[in-house]
Amino acid sequence: MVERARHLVVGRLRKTHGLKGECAIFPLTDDPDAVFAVGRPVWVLNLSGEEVAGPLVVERCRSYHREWLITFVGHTSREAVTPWRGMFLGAPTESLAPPKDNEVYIHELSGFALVAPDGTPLGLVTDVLDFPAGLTLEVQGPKREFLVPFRKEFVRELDRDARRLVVSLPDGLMDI
Amino acid sequence: MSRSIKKGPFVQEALLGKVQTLNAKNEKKVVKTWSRSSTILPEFVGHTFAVHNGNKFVPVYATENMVGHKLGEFAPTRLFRGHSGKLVADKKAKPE
Repeated sequence: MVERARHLVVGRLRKTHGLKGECAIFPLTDDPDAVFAVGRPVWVLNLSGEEVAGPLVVERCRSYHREWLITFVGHTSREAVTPWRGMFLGAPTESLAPPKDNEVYIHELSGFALVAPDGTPLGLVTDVLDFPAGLTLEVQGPKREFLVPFRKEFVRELDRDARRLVVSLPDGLMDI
Repeated sequence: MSRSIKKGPFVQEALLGKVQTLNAKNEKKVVKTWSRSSTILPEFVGHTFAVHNGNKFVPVYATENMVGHKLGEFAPTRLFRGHSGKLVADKKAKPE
């Protein structure tokens, strides 16, 4: 059984902004509009994933360049939010929008089984690497480790419940 | 100073030859190369290259957006795995 994270990180508290308790947050989520919406609860997490503060309710939020400026209910001074500088904002897994069809959380990909279209097992995903050409799966095959680009040309089918990827690989990809 | 237009983009001859052979046969096979400085030409689109990064071969699937870039740009020689410890980000992906 795969252990699922209780909180998913949705942003990094980069610094305080102004004197009224606003925090500049660098988003680490695909959907910051929904996650940082007014009234949504979030938790402050340290680097080990332990809760430091929360639940904090978003009182006001606005996007600012690449970041978001957020104020929390009851925290209206700079001093109240300064200790959280450099920490992370997390939201409970259940409160976030689940992945759509043919979509998966990147952290869940580790442990997925790779199978050929005829059902032959090819290996297990051990890591996901973010290369300039896109996500690449590091796969432990029966003989050796190999890399597979996470592209629709290779990944034909994604089954999140069965933790399985059906892939058709070009000749030689498993031997490089 | 940019490269002379007269010369055209640099591509290792052997690599270009391999791709042209594959195109002529209408075959798709991984092309192993150490030539990181070769430019991606329109003929390369749709082929997968195993580009050496000094340690191992990184598979690079050539797309239209990559034309004009060098193969080495897509096979980084350093890999940063992050400091995030046990934290997992709310990032989703689908094969594109």
